[in-house]
Amino acid sequence: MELLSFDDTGYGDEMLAGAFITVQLAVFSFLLSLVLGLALGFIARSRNRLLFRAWRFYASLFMGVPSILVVFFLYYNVPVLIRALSGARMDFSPLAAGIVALGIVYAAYVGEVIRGAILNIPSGQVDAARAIGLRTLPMWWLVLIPQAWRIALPGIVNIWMVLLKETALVSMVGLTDLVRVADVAAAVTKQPFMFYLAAGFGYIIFSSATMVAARRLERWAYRGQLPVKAQ
Amino acid sequence: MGFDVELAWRLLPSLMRGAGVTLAVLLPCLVAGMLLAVPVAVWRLSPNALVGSLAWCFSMFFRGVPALILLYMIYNGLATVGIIRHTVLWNVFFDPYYCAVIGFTLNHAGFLVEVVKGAIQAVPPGLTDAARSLGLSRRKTFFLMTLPMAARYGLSAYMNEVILFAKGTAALGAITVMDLLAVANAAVSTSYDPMTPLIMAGAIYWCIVQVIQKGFARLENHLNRYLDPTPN
Repeated sequence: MELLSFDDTGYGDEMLAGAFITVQLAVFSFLLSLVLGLALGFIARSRNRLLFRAWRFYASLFMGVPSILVVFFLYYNVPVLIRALSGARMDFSPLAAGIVALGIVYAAYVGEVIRGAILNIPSGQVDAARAIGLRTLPMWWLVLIPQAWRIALPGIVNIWMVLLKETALVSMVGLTDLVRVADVAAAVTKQPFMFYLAAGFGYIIFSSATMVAARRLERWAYRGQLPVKAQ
Repeated sequence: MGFDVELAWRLLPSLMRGAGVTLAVLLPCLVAGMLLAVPVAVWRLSPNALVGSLAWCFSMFFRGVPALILLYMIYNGLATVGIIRHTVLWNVFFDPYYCAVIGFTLNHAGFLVEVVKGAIQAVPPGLTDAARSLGLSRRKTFFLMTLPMAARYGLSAYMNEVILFAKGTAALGAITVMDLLAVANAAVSTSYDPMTPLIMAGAIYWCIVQVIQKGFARLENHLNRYLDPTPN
């Protein structure tokens, strides 16, 4: 157990630092995917043919290639691109590459969920909102979004769970996240199971914790609906 | 900078070999994962609390831990266990390919357990009663009615899982298996072209995913052919 201690002899503090990197990567790429995905979801229901095609292309592309390939692609190519465009030499850290790549990839999934949620709102809701005199913005804000959000929530929680585990792959471009630290510690101490299991349980604990938060969020989203049965 | 057509053409054979390695891991895992997941899903639904919670632990663990950690655990971890290192088992765990197949099978099975369980639960209980009252044994009811019906209910969830899993095999390079992504990455460092090999690899992954989608669409049409007589 002293191998996991928090002083110079143990790897506890390094593991914690790695876990913090993993959390940063997961949270920021998830936020980015939410913002991009929201925009995509609205584009997807546009009647503009060109926009619709562009969305189909985006979704098919990023749902069809492994996210780690996109991470590698950005990691290698963005510095080259920046130098070509501005002449500046700029490093693109593995963390930044991971955040941007996972954000772009999972935006495709978020967009799909948002689109589905908006399409699932009965069209009578729009008519009713119009009939009581709501303009477009209040209609979305007060009537449509609170309902769409309820439908979208389980799908978005699912995406978060997949994304969280996908962050492990970013260690392949050299990010010193939880997996990389555990791998180094395993090699140095010759105690691989202890460190890999510790890292693995780190992921399990983190996803269980967010699951609890998601339940709360769901209960909040359903407030005013039928009472939620106690499970 | 830019896509180099000549390099792409030159890399094509080695990339196809890489894709072959990816498929050589993917296909056995799909079969073994399903063979493992069906019994565990049945145990998951068992009224026996002990059996049920063991099956729950199985799916919870192998779903919750990233596949990459499982691969490291099997490839780097088992090598330190004396019983494996000094017996015939070492012939298996020495080879990263077998380690990958075992690790990915467990990971895939963890997700499949939930898919299969959901599909079995979606079969209306009245059908089971009907099959039993026709005099079918429990075993026959399960294999002749419940499983074939569940296959129809679970198909689209299964397809999503297969696609996620196919893309997840890109982690293979981490344990030195030369899969499609690893071949492309090696080509990046030998050709100094950061773009062309990865675009080619991405295109091949994309094609694999399209084939999976088209295949499942046909399978769904075939399985549901009794529902809608109009051909589409």
